[in-house]
Amino acid sequence: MTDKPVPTPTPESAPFWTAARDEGRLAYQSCLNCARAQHYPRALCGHCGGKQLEWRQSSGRAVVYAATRVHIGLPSFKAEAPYDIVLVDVEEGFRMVLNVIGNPEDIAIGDAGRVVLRERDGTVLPQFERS
Amino acid sequence: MAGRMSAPARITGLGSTGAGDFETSTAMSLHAEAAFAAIADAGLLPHDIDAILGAYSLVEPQAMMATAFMEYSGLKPAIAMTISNAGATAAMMVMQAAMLVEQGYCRHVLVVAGDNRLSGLRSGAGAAIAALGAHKQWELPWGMTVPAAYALVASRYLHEYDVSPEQLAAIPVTQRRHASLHPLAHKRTPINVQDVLASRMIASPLRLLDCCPNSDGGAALIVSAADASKDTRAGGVAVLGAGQGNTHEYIVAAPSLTQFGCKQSAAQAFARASVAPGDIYVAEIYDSFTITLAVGLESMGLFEKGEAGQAAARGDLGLGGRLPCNTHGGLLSFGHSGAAGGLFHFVEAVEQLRGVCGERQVKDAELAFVHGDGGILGAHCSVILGRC
Repeated sequence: MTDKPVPTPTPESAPFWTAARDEGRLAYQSCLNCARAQHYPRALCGHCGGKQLEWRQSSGRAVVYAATRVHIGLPSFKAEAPYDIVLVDVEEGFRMVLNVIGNPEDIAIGDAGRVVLRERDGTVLPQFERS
Repeated sequence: MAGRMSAPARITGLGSTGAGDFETSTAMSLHAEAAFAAIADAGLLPHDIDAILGAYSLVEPQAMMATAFMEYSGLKPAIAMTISNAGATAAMMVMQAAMLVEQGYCRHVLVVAGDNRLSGLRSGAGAAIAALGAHKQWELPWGMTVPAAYALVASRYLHEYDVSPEQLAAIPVTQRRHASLHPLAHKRTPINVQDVLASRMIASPLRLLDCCPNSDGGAALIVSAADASKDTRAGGVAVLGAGQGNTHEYIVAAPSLTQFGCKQSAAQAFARASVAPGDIYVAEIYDSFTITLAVGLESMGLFEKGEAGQAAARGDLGLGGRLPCNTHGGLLSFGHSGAAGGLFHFVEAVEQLRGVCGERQVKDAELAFVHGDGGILGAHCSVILGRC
């Protein structure tokens, strides 16, 4: 059984992963120039090109924007198939790709919930938990 | 905006191995077979080729595909460049080739791609391709694959528009019917709507028959300068206009799941060609999945948002319909060999304009629209071709 892919932190994303692993916080970048949030983290603001970005904590409140149940996916996910992948819009104005706690069959666009942090095989990852 | 070139580039030669399971093929041998067929089809000799544009291969990746093919084949053009934009590559290669000859850098450009992704990778192909379209840090860890990413788009499409799975299933059914009329297509056995809806679920709502197969194959075009096309056998088909629209690499960063760069690429191509969507006789539009075609068609401006499924169910996209589409079967049924997949669309478009498609022929076809889409609907290039 192959191991599931794990994210490799980069200098840009290290604060995200450190906050997740050590502080149980969902962190995101906020641009001090245009006030927009962004995910994934970058060395500059992807909206306005600004270089002054601040890390903030997200409430985690999110809504499902798109959803699929993957039956034939990555080989390392075979045991979990079918598994949900969702695109969620988080309250502060950014979007994430996540799996869904419990892999509900009826996951749907518009479902509300929260981004939560869960350990998977020793790595803390954000996931979506329906309300 | 600049309009049509006064002496547009012409596609003067075609080569295609067809698509299928070619056990003894290699990426390079497929390139060679298609390339030399195209040169011969144009009535040219190898030394007439003064530029090569190459693409990419999963089985034999190269740092410089065009240059690697030069080394393999013995062709010796001064200009050799490689374009790697996933599914948009073929259309971008044609756009680039047209620019080269129109600018006077060269007279005959060889545009070539090929890959033995079926016989070369077997079950490994799916895994290799699946992982390519997912961001390693922000998507792959959650099990993202290319079909899953397109399924997310399809989920949003079904949420926003009143269209049934039966209507959308008419798309792969129509294309399979077209492929059954093409001797070189990979998948030719007719299917019906029930077959599509009963095929195994890959990532909801996309089923197996909503997804293109992996095929071995290679294809090539010769793009010639207008005045050089008189040296060729058939004179050629004009590249009247091209356009692009690019927005993202990964689905997590897509600015929209319902509006894509194909709108812009088609608008630019039509404007440069001085052609309206309603003037098009036949369309060859990238169709990695059913949803890819639906979204692409609607961006052309010929069908309203959400209407592609109904149009397919009505027969609008079939031979004899309002806008015959993917008359060779598309990626969904003719086959998908990587960048060559997109070139198969160009080969079919040119054959339609040459009037040599036999049972697949769209009567009196004068103008064709060809579209390529790369990544997860993130890179788009549209090209308008016209009979000379």
